[in-house]
Amino acid sequence: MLLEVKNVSKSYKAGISALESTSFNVMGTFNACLTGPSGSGKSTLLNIISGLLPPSSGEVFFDGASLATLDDAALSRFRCENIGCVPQGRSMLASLTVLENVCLPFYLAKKKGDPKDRATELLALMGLDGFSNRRPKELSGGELRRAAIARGLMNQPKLLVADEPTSDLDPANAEAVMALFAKAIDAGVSVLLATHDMNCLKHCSIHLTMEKGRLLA
Amino acid sequence: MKPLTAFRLSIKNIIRRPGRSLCLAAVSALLSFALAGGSLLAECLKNGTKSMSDRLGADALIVPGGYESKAQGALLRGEPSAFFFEGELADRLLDSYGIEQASPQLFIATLDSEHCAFPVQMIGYDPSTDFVVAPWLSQSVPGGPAKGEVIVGADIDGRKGETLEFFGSYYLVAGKLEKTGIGFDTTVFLNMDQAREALDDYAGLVGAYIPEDAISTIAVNVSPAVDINDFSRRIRYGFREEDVGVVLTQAMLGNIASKMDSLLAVIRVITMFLWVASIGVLAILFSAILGERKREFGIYRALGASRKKLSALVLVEASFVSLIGSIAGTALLSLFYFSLNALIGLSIDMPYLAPTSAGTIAWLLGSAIIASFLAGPAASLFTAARIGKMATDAIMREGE
Ligand SMILES: Nc1ncnc2c1ncn2[C@@H]1O[C@H](COP(=O)(O)OP(=O)(O)OP(=O)(O)O)[C@@H](O)[C@H]1O
Ligand SMILES: [Mg+2]
Repeated sequence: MLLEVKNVSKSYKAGISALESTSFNVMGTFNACLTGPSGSGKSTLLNIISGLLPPSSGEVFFDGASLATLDDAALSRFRCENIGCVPQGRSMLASLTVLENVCLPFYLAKKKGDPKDRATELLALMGLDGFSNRRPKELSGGELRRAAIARGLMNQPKLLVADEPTSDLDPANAEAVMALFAKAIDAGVSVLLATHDMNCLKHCSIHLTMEKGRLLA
Repeated sequence: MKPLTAFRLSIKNIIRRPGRSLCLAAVSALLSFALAGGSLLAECLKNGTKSMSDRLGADALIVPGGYESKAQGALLRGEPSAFFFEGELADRLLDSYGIEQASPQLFIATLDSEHCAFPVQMIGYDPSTDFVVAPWLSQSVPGGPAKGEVIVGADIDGRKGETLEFFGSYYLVAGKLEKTGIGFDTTVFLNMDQAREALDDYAGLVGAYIPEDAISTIAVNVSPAVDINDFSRRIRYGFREEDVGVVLTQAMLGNIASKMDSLLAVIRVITMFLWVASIGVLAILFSAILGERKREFGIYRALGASRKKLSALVLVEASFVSLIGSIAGTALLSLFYFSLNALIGLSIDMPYLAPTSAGTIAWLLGSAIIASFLAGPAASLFTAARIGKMATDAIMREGE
């Protein structure tokens, strides 16, 4: 796939800019890592790329198509089909079982059929066999993160976006999560992640560094 | 696996937070209870006054002077009373100008003693001229109650075929009146001859002076050409020596009806206020809950839910909780109403609350459920509209 970020900037409040005119292109099946100090604008950029946050100016293109031209319904549909999300922190919904959580993107995309088999398969791939009917509160942080990755892969997206996926994990679990991203890339899914964890860098094919809302070359 | 529709997601959420859901449902339950109760009360009151004039069936009652309020008490509330004027005067009254229909009645108060089954109003009437009692008979008693027979009001404890003791004599219950909602419900009716015998017994027991051929009231319908107030004035003036009073049923009821009207207006205003206030309270609750659920909605959004989907989740959940609450509240009210109704049926002094038909009750309860139910989604509209924007911000922040 081709991801183009063109002159994207963001200011939450007038005058204070969280992200200054940022541009870059990546293509093929990539594993991109975004690093930088806290408050440098990593999450902001990630959320703009994944279509959750509208930029103040500039545009993001997926395979040549601009996200800016889509209205909320069309954008949501596009995001459902093309972008998998692993939100920061604990993101499993407490009212649903692990299996239901993993299946949720399938239903939000209004797809037809039964996602159970694929969800079970993904959970197995993440080393979570037998966790299907558990509640999120019965899982450890590492297990939750792996389940969230399974959920991000549910709709076979072109791009999987993860914000600090290893931040609250011990080195062994962090390593396991990174190995799972590698598996996703093997399956043709590009990965974009923001992290403070320098151990992640050894797995990535593209390394982007940010500072004070700017992308360093 | 069962599809995770907005409906199923909402139910899972409701179950997940029983305390919160119960709290919201309780507001709806209170509202529907108040709405259903208010409209039922209003309906019963309206029903009670509207037909009161029809119930009495007479334009006016001619009574001995000074006994107007006693006559009203006897007719409206069934308060036992006894008052009389002479038969000779009654005959002259019957000849008065403008009378279209007239039927004399004899009021006797039975006693709270060993000689009587219970203290009630006893009315002797003349079946041949009567136009007041007969319309209420649940099954026809040709020629009215015969010698040794009585007809009883709906709330009198005695079925057809049973006997009741009054003043030491036994009477066979020959028929029963339908529920009237006025004093007739607790009145025992006999024919005039029988009533005179009872009156002798009564006089003997209480030692009162009873005029000859005594009559208590004359129920009168005035011919349409005659103004009812003129009629009343003429009678009172014409018989000023004898001291005669006239009770106009229209005025007596009009007085009540106007009081009822203001009461109804108050009920209406209170119900409207409650409805608006509940929407306000629910809106505040929903909005407070939204703060607590930002993260959850942010996750939905991150996973591809559109703003519309989030709004739908909020609306469906609000509707569901509100519906459950509304049904529960109305069910509770019905339970209340029907047990209270049974009590009212037994008590004597609530003549203005006439129970209404099952169809009307169903309609009122149904409307209360719908009105109260609508308050839920209406209150959540504001939150539903706000949610899309808030959710986007919340994804950035951690913590559940
Ligand atoms: N919703 C918001 N409203 C106002 N300012 C915001 C908002 N979100 C982020 N910011 C500001 O934008 C800047 C960039 O924040 P961002 O979250 O992108 O940083 P980050 O690189 O992800 O930091 P961290 O590594 O700590 O997660 C920060 O200065 C932050 O205070
Ligand atoms: Mg961040």
